[in-house]
Amino acid sequence: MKRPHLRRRSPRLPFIVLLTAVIGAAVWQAHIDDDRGAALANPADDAAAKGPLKGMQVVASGDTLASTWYCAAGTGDQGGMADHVVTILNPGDRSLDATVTVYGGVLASSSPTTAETSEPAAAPAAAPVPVLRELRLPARDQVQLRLGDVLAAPLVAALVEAKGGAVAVEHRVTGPHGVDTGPCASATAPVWHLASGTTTRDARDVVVLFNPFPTDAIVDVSFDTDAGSREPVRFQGFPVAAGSVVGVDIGDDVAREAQVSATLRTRTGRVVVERLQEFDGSLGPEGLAVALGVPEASTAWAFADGMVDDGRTERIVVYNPSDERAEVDVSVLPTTDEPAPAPQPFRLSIRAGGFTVVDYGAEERIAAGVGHATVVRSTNGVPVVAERAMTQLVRADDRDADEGGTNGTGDIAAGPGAIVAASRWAFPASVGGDEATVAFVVFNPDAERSARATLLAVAGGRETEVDDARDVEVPPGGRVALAGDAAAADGSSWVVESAVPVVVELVVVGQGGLRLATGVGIPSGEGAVPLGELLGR
Amino acid sequence: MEPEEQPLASPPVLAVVVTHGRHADRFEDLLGALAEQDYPQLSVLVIDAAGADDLTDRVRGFLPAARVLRLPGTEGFGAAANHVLDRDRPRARRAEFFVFCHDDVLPDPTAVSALVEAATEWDADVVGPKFVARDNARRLLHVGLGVDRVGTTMPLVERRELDQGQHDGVREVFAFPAGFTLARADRFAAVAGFDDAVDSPNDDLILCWRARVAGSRVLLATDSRVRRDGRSWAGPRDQARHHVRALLSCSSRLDVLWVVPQALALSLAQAVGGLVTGRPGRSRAAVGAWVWNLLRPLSLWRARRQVNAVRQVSDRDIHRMQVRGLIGPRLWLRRMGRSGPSADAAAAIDPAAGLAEPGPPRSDDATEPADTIAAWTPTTALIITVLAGVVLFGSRHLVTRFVPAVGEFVPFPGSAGDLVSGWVGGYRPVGLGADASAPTLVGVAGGLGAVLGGHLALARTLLIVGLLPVGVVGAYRLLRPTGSKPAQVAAAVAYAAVPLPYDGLATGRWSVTAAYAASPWLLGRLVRASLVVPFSPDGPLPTVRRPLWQHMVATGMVTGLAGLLVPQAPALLLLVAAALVVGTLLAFERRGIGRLVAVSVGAALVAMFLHLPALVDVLRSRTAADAWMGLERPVGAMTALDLLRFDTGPIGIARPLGFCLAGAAVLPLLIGRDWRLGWAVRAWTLAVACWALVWAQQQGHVNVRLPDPGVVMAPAAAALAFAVALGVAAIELDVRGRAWRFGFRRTVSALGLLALAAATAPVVVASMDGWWDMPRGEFGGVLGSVDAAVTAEPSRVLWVGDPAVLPGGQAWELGDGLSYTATEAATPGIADLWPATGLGSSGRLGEALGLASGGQTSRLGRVLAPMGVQYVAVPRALARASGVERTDGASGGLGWPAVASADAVDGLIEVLDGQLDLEQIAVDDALALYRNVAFAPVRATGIGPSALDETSAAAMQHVDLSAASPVLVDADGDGRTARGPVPAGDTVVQASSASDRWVLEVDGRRAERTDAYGWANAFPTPGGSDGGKAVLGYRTPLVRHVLVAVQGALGLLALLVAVRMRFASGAPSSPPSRPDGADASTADDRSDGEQERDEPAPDDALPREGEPVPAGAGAST
Repeated sequence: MKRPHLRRRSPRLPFIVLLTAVIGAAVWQAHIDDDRGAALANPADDAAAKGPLKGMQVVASGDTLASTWYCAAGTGDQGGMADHVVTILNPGDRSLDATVTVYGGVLASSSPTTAETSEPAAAPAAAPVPVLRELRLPARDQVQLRLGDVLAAPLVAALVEAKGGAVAVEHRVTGPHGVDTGPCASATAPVWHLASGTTTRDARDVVVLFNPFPTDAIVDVSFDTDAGSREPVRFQGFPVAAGSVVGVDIGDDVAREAQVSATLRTRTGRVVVERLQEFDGSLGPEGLAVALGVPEASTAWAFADGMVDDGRTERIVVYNPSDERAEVDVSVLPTTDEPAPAPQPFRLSIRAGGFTVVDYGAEERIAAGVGHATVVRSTNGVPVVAERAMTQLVRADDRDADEGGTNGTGDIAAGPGAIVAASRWAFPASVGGDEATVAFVVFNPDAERSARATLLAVAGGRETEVDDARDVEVPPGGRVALAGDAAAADGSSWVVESAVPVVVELVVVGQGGLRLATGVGIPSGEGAVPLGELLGR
Repeated sequence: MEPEEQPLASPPVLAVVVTHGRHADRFEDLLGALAEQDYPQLSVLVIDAAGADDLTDRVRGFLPAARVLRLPGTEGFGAAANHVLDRDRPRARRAEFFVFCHDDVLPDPTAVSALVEAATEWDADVVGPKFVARDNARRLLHVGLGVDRVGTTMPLVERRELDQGQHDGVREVFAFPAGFTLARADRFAAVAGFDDAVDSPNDDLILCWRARVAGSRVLLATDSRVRRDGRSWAGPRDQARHHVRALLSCSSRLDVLWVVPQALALSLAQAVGGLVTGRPGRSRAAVGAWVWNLLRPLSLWRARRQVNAVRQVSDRDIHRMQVRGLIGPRLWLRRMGRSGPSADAAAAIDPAAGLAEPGPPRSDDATEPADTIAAWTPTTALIITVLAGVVLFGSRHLVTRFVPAVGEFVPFPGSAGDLVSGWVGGYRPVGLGADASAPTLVGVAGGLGAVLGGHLALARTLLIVGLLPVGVVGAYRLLRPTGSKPAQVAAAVAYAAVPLPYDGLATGRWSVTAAYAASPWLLGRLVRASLVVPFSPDGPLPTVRRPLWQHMVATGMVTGLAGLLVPQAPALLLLVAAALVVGTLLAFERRGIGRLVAVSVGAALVAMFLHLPALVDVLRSRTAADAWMGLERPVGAMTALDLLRFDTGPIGIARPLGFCLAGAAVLPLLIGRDWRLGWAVRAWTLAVACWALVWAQQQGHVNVRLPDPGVVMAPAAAALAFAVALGVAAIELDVRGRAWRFGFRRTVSALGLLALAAATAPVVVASMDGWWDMPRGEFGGVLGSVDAAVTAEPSRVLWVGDPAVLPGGQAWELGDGLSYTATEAATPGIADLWPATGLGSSGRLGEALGLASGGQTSRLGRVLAPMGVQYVAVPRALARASGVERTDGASGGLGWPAVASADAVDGLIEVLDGQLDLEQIAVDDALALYRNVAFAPVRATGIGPSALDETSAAAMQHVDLSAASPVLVDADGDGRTARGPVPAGDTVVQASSASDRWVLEVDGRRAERTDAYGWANAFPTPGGSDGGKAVLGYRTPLVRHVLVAVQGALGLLALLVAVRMRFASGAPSSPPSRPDGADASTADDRSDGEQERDEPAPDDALPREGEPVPAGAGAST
């Protein structure tokens, strides 16, 4: 039978409909993508998206195969302004081998590195050959090495290479005008920021540049002072030879400035930058402070400790090294027995490349004699660098009363805050004993969760919990001080643990209540949380 | 039989038959015809110019009185015929007229007498006959030739014109075809006869011109009728030579100055036209004619002297007898202006079989009225010429200067022999070396370089820049079965407007450019294999129904060729086929699905087997198989709109214009009918399928390995070009022929054409810089010291970074979108492309980089030291900083093709900056370069046993190898042999993947091989006070040789099949016909001298006799 002839159905209409639907969906999707792209373009989110460990030295995890630390600032000759001692803590349960390579260098300026500033300046000598020292790091113990014993030089720096992970390295500097401790750097960076610094007549601000690499580094330095930005010719294309350490007294070029912020940017090569700040006491308190530069600005900073009273001053320096104006809130979180409202934050608007100083002692809203934490946040997402400079002056009559002395004294502490909260903080430097006591101020930046902190003393192959500092509750947004065990203090390193990420600072108090050193510890990389993320919850 | 005694009134005539033995079957016919001549005083001289066989008996069988002159060596027609002027030819001396015969003509019995009568009555010196078809005397072939001043000839009859006496009579002509020419003997001698340099002339242009110059009369006597077939005695090459010879030898000095430049310009135009229209033979003929003549200055000078000796007539009088103006261009335009192939077909002559007989009427169920399908028009010719000009213009610096070695456009180092040796050697030096075969491309590049006389740079330029025209021509050929030149031209224009290949060049992605070149050919093979109208025997241009396996082999071969540069080509073919199948279903059709599936699967297998060694390597390793499919690409930034615009790089000036191509491609969906609509649906389905795949990957909806998005989008581009061309075909068939109102269809058609024109704007703009936005420099230009260093101390350069800018492109994956590769030269070469098949121990490089990235070491230099890595390079851009500045001020660096994020690259550089044993070397802003101060050479001694026993990469950071000394410094180009002295009692460490194939011989004694570092080779040298001369060599396993041999054999086999399909003639399965009664297979393309076949035929086929042949050019069509 002949099949009936059927008109074939045309695919035109169905296909055009289908195609239109597909293209329409594509256009719709593209708009969504555009919106998503715009959202991603938010600089604040960009900043938040950056890794938590950038910009701060951290202790690597235990399974890390090697760790490297750079201790830049310190002197190695007799009578140096900051005799350099490196402390290496191995908190792990197996001993490790390490090599310490000590590099010698000189001050690039005409200023001598000795305390006797009246002596004529010596011509810079050629950098000595680095000396390598093999070390054995016992498990749960620390090893100290005075670098001057390895290599006597006006400036000595150390490169510590450990054949294992969870090693923390600090260094202590001791000089005729004070003592201070601070963490060494666990990484190098192309840019370093130093938010604070003083070059007044009684002060020396020595910036140390350490280049352990095989590449000569060329560094450009820019300063910002109350008088404006400066880029001295000497510091444009400033060379730092491969395998050397160089110090520059910036007072030679930026003289008589109460506040100097600096950014050091390498054209080629890499360096580690640290600052030695010394006050001779001729115009106020004397003291010595060592502070590592900040390799990367951040949108949030925290300082766990702080107090102002008659003898103490505290200044927060916020430096904006970016190209945009930064809107910053500086919040003070006092610790009081009675519930009390926190003072209004200081709202700062900082020009690009500029800084602003908040002097708590001059601000009425800061209660004197009340301990507090400080949180610095950039509200417009422009990252900044925050440092805290504290001075303590013990009046002569007070000392007279206590010691029968005749001269007034004091100390200074200056350094950047923390940009992360971590569940474990290490303090390798062994301080305390008869001459001083140590305390650890734990700040819980989490606004919702309480933290429980425990202080551990690490020494002699053991990790011992301090009785009075075990499982201490730290309320949300609050802070507590954990006192070190005096019996275990001498020769011990310290570790603070908390299940909830916290910020911990060390306070070394000498006789007469003199604060010899204050500064943040070294957080563990594992479990570290950026403060910006935590504070934003 | 010999004529009887002649009356005295009849002048004696000598018929001179020159034979070369080529027409043995027709020679007797001629002899018989001469025997039957009614002219009483005719004698015959047969000149056997071949001289192979004695023809005396054959000649005497018909002409007992005829003489046979055997020439000892083969001579051309002119030289042979001129023997009648020899003084020892008494019969020739007695003759008053000569009649020069070709050996395959068939004169009527009165032919000679009619010529003599005309000569005597009109006092003519040269007289020619009327030629008619041998098998049909009613068909006129020639009644003389018109000639213009540059020597172009034209027939004075229309093709296939019927002889109704309309041309009868005696008339003056400038020249006539050769074959049966009467010349007065004394005049013939005066003008020195024929030009000796002329061999088998198609016409007697030179003889007639000489006679004219000498003041003789040249007549055509139509009463003299001679039959002959339609084929030419001379090919286009010889015709072109003869006509240039005529022009140069017969023109006066003044004419040489004035006319020759015109002729030369015309020849060049023809050469360009030949290239543009895909007739390279015509181009060769046009240019070669001048070269041939100018290479014979002495002969030319002699010929001019002969002519000048008899010159009687002024130039003006000569020109008066010639056709005014230039014949060639006028005829060319006139032919293109015909409404369709029917006109051509009506006059078509089958070159092989003489005149075509009228065929049966076209069947009623024919798909289309073929006379509505247009052939070349001046517009289409102009468009294609402009298109070729734009492509050439845009590529001018790449062709005349250099093609920068950026991205995948790697240099071809060494010699052609090194490349071939590297291909067959079975060892890949890339990374840490491996027992694996080099890509087939290496062998092809080497072979091409050898063919080009060792000019590897030229081979590289051809293999890169040549891809552009290959793609455009592929698109043009894709639509050939439709028989519509406008559609073909539209396809070419649309495809050329796709920014993919230019973006591929600008961003150093060879695979993208290659995919662009291959896609229309792949698509074309599949659509032909489907046998769906119009790609079927019953289409407008009928095709031969070939066996399925032939389609598989041909498609597989095209895919295999694409696979030289696009390893994923077989997968791409399957994707295209799958999309076409879906498109077929969406078009509510089923026909062709089975063939598509079968051919694509079979072709994919063929293509894979054509790369047999690589196939074996891929199958041996899961890692290689994964990498072969492409990179593990992170979610990208491309939106669907970017895909619609083919926005894959810097080409493009305005966003809306990017959509114009897609807009033009919508046209057939709106106005097309029948097969135009059906194939438009298939084409759009293919395009959408490709876009969807890339889009899904870019959006993170699918997690599959994909090649570069540009590679996947290339078939989409071909599909859109296909659709655009279908739209043009629809305008011809569905609008112009059906809708006379200016309504929707015409409006849409106009918009579509406007959109197509607008789509070309970005490409035209991009062509201005002559580089297609490629970087102007390359990293090699700043790495001279690196090259010297790694040569002086055999060592490696580790390249790591974004594969989008990494020299060599895709390499081993590192994570975060980063890749790495290593070479024993400053930059990767062609042998280092696609290192996936040669992993060997190269994963250790990635492990070392991972240690550094993970913060596990700050002594990466030491970790890399045993691997012989002296330099680590991280590119930030495609080329050195000064080379990536573009004319438009934009950055030529990393665009969206980036695979890794900028943060990943910055992080990597930060990690490397922080390594204590990597010295930063400042060479260029676009390159972070580090020298490993702790490296050990690739072939070294002085390494302690404890270090050699260390197998952990991480542990090597605590081992210092910087004291190692280089040995075996003198290495061959293929990286398989090294020589030099070695110390005694030491251990030679070769930092290549451990393999028993490596053999070290010291003074002829073989050293034992052990593993070093757990992955490399160590050879303890014999003890003693002195060392010895050592040779370290890689012994290629037999199986590798077998694989390469099989690969070569398969390639040859496929080539033979393809050639057979291409050139073997075949009859269509169902002879189509044309409405006018002409054979449909002689339509348009037959006019190009092509035979019936479904594959394109070469355009160098012999031209039909009587086609106008301008001086210096082949027959113009």
